[in-house]
Amino acid sequence: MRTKLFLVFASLILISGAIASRFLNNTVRQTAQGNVDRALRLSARTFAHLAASIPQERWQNELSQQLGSVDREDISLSLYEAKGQRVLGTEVMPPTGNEPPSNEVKQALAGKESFSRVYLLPEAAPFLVAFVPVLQKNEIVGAVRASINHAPTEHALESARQDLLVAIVFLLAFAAGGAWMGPRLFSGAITDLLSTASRMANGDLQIRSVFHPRDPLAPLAKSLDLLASNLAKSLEALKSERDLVGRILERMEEGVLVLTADRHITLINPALRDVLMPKPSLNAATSSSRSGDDVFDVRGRTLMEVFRHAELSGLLDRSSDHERVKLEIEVQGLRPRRLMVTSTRFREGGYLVVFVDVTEIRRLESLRRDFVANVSHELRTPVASIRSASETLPLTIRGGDEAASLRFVDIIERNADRLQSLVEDLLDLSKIEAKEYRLAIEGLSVPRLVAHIFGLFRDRAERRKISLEADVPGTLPILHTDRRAIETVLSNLVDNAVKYCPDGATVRVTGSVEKDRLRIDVKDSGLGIEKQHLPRLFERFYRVDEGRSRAKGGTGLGLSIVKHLAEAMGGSASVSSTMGTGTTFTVRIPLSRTDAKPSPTAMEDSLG
Amino acid sequence: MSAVRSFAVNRRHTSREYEDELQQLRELVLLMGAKVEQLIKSSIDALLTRNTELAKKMIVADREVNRLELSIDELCLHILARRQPVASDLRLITITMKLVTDLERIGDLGVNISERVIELNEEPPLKPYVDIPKMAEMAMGMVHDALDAFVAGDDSQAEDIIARDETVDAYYHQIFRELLTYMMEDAKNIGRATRLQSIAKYLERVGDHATNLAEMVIFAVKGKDPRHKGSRSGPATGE
Repeated sequence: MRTKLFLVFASLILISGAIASRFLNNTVRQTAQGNVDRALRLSARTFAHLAASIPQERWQNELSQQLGSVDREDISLSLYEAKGQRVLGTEVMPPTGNEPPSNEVKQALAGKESFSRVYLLPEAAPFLVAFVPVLQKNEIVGAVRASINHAPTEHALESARQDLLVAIVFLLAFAAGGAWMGPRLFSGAITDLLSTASRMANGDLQIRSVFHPRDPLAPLAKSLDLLASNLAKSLEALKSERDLVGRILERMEEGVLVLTADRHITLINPALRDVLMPKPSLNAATSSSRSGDDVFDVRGRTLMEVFRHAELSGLLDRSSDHERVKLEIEVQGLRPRRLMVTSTRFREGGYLVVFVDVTEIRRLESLRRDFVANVSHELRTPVASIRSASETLPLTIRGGDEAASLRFVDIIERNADRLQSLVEDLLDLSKIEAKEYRLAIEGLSVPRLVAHIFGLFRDRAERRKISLEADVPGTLPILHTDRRAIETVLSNLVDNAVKYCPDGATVRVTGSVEKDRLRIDVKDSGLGIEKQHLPRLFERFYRVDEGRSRAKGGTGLGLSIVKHLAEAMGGSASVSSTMGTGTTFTVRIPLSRTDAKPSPTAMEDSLG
Repeated sequence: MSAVRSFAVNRRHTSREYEDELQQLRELVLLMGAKVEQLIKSSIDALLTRNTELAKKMIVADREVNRLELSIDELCLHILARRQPVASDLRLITITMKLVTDLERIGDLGVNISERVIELNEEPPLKPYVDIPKMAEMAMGMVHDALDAFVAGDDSQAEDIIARDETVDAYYHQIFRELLTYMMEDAKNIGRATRLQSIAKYLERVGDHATNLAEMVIFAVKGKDPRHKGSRSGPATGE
C-alpha cells in the first residue's frame, strides 16, 4: 500500500520535475537567450548604423571613439570592411593578420544577418556571435561582428537547473514521507478494517473492529461486525444441531448406515460398527498388522469391503425412494445375531440402511414354539389314554367284566390327575412369570417346614430305602415369605431327589444363613447330572432322560417352577453336580421381605 | 505398509473411468465371494438341520455365482483391451481372473454338497455330525479370511491360511476312517456313509481352493508367485 502510494507520488513528482525542467530549459533559455540575442543584435545593428553614417575612410578614426559609447561591457564589437578585413574592434581576438574572412563574415558581406554560438576555445564558455551587414545607400560596405560571452547565461541556467533538481529531491523525500505516513494518518482506519476483515475471513469470528463513532468508515465497520456475529451464531446453531444428531446416532441401539449412490460409506453409527466389526481380540496378531490403517475408520470404503454379505447387496438393489424394503440377515462371529435390515434410497442418490437387532425376539419366538410343541405333546398322551379307555369302557361294562372296567376307570382317573397337575403347573408357572404371583408373607420356622415336607415323602422314601436327613438347626432365623411358595419349592426338590435316586441313597436337606438370605441345599447321593445339562436344567420341559422322566410321572415343569418361585420370593435357585457322587440343588431366599414383589432374575446364581 | 497400500485400489489413475472400472471389479469379486461363502455355509446348515428346501435353494443360488464369474471375466478382458494395464495393475487383473475361477469352483462344491444333502435326507441320519461341522467351519474360515486379506490388500495372514489346509486334510482322513468303520459294520450304512464321505471330500477341496486364494493374495501384494515352491527347481537340481 505504502509502496504504491510512494510510487504514485514519486512518478508524479518526477513527471512534473521533467516537465518543469523542460519548461525551464526552453522558456528560460529562450527568454535569457532572447534577451541576450536582442541585446546583441541591437548592439550590432546600432553599430552598423553608426558605421553606415560615417564614410568608410573615417571609420578608423571616428568609430573607435564611438565604440566606447556603443560598447557594453560584455559585448564586443568588430567592424569588417567590404573585403572582409577587420578594421577595428573591442574584442580580444587572436591576431588576425591576413586571415581569410570566415563564412559568417562572407555571408554578412553578402547581406545576410547571422547569429550563432561558437566555442572560441575548446571547453571554454560559449560565445554568442552576431553578424550584421553595414549598408550605405543600399550598398554593402562592411559587416559588424558582435559577440557576447554566454557563460553567465549558461551558469544561470545551470544553477537554476540544479535548484530544480534539489527541489525534486526534496519533493521525493516528501513523497516518501507522505507515502509512509499517508496510509497511517489518512487511511489508518481502512487498514485496520482490512486486517480485521481478513482475520474474520480466516476463521476468527470473535474479533471486532475498533473504530471511532464519527469515523466516516464507521458504518462499514459496524456492518462487518454484524456479519461476523451473525455468521458465528449460525455456525454455533449448526454445530449444536450436528452435535445433537451425532449424539442421537451414538446412543441409538439401532444401527444406522448412510451410503452414497455407488455404495461408499458416508456415515455409520457406533452401534452398527460394533455389530459388523467387533473389536479384534486382545491377543490377535491381526490387530497389529494394519499399522497406520485405522480399522475403524471405514468412511469412504464400500459396504462390500467392510461387510461382505451377499444378501445386503441384493437388498440395496431392491431399494427405492418411495418404500422401504426389509430383509433379515444373520451375522456370524463370536456373538451370532439376527438383524432386521430396512433400506430406502434417497431421491438424489444414496441409501439409508437401518439395522435392528431381533436376535432376542427370534429366540423367544422359537422358545415359544418349542414350548407350545412340548405342551401339546405332554397333553396328547394322557388325552389319548383317556380317550381309548373311555371308548373301551362301555364294552367292558356291557360285557359285565367288572375287573376290566375298574382297570379302565383307573386309567382314566390317573390320566385325568396327570392332566390336572399339568394344567395347574402351567397355570402356576404362567402366573409366576407374569409376575402376578401374590406373596402372602408369614413367619415360618425352617425346621418345621422341612419336617412337614419330609412327612409328605416319608412313605415313598421308606419303600425304596432312601433316607431323608435334615440338617436344619433350630437356631436358624425365622423366614418371612409365602408359605405355599417355599413349600412348593422344597417339595419339588425333594420329590425330584427321591424320584431320581437309586434305592438306598440319601437325600439331605441343609439349612444355613448367607448374609441376609436363607440358604437351603437339597443334596442327593444319586448318579449326578452331566455338565452340559446343568445350564438348561431349569428350562421348562427340559429332561435329561426323556423316557425315564415320563415314566416316573414327571410333568417336566418342576424345576422351572422352583426357579420362578425362588425368584418370585426375591431369591434364586442353582444346581451343582458331580458324576457318580450326587447333585445339590441350592435355593437362596431373603430372610425377610416386606414387599410382595419378586426380585429381578439373579442369573449369576443359576449355575451354583 | 507400502506393500499393502500399493495393492489397494486407492490409487490415482489418469482416467476416472479406469478408476471406476477397477472399483466395480473389486465390488463384483467381493459380491461373488460373499455369495460363495453363503452357499457353502447354507449347504452345511442344510445337512445339519436336514433341510432339503435350503439345499435346493443353494443349488439354484449357484447360477448367480456363475453369472458373476462371467461378468467379472468380461470386465477383466475389457480392462485388458482398453486400458492395457502394466505392472501392478496387470497383476491385479490377472490375479482377479484366477481368484474368480477358484471362487466359482468353491460354489460348485457347495452345489455338490447340497445334492448329497438332499439324498441323505431321504434316510434317517447315520450318526451325530461332529467332525464334519468342525471341518466345514475350518474350511469356510479359510475362504473368509482369504477374502478379507484380498479386501485389505494384506498378506500377513495368508501363510496362516495356507497352513490351516493341513488341518482340513487331517479332518478328511479322520472322517473317512470313521465312515469306513460304519460301512464295514453294516451294509445298510454304505449309502449314507459314502455320501458323507463325498461331502467331506468336497470340503477338503474347498480348503485347497482357499489355499489358492491365499496364494493369489500373496502374489498380488508381493509380486512374487508363491505357488508350487517344490516344482520350481527343475529335475537337474534333483529337488
